[in-house]
Amino acid sequence: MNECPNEDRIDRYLTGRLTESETAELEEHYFNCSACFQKISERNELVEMIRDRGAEIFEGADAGPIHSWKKAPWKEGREQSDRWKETPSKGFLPRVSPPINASDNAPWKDGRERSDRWKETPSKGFLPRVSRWVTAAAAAVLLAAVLVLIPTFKGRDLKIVSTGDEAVRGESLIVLSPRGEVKAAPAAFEWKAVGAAAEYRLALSGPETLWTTVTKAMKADLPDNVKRAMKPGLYQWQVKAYSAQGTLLAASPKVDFRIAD
Amino acid sequence: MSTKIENTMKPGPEAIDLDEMLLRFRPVVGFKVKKALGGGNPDWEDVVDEIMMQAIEKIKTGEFRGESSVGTFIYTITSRRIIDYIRLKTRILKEAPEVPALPDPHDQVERNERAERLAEAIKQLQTRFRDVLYLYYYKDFSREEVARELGISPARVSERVNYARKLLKKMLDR
Repeated sequence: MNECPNEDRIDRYLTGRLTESETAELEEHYFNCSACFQKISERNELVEMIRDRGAEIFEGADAGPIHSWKKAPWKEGREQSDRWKETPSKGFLPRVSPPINASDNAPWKDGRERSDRWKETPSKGFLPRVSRWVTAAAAAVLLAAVLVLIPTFKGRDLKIVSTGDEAVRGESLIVLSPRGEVKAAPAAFEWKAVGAAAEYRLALSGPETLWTTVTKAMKADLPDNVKRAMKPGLYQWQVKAYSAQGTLLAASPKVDFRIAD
Repeated sequence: MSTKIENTMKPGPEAIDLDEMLLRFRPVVGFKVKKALGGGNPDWEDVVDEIMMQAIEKIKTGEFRGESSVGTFIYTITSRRIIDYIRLKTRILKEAPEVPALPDPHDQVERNERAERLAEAIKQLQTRFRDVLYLYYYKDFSREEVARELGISPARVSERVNYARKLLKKMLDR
């Protein structure tokens, strides 16, 4: 019987993020290990419920704040904190200012009486009730930021892929593992198949090229001699999909992973 | 009186207790089948029955002799049966659209009560626990992505998720 899966693996199973072979391995395991089955079925209840009702729980009217920067100004008595500035911005989203307090007088409307009627319009879920000018301005800023930053957005379905030495038209290839921090040199490299691909070419570097391979599968085992030579540190790998004619179909970005000390 | 079948291939008389096997594996098979077919699918219980019957049959006829563990044996039957079911279902649906059956109301009520208490409990958690549950389970962020978003280490993310689950369990067991 193989080893009991760790917490993260169980979570990824329950959220559908394991590969087919990882899934089969884990499932066969819990058919044999009642302790793991107990754990997994209990956790599944929580995960399923969250995925069913997440919108209501986390984003609904009576949900608490998520991160400091989403504090709702209409909740009386609560201080508007500046802690939101410390949270990392979410990828390409700019850090827009926190919602303007309803009691502020809009300086551009000098002379005009501030009507309170806009407060009667229903607030849109967790979005604060701000004057429509602020909302429009914020939307424009966001839109501009997104448009400006699209080329740098590391999207998964980007049609034009830059792989460093060449810009390729096609879909980017999604890599599954390894990525991020790993405890030891990985046993294999895995990625999501590209339908039309006849073969995949993989290159591992750290930073100079350590190993390359060509395979038809979506997985490549790391040979023992290379594995043994890999000390803790930062590595990079990349896999490219080629058609039968030898044209490049898709390429993954250069994925970093670090072998921990 | 329990039904025991002699397992002749293993050294020593190791018998498979069918009743015990049913008791132990029914929930596991049920879990996997429900996951594969979808909880709303009314066929899942029948499929589980078929799998258990097939397992018993193979043990009785001696087709299964203990060359693998019982768990693996039943898992294999389960996987195959699910594939067959999906294949069959796809073919049938292509020919005639099916009217979805209504889910069992009794099941729903029980599940909803527990789900309701869980949902309420989550709303009461502190922000840092709600954040990780939100990003990790609802928004499908990876551990590393959650870490980056919240400015903490991936290890800390896991700790927090684990702790949040423990807290919820405590709140529900009260």
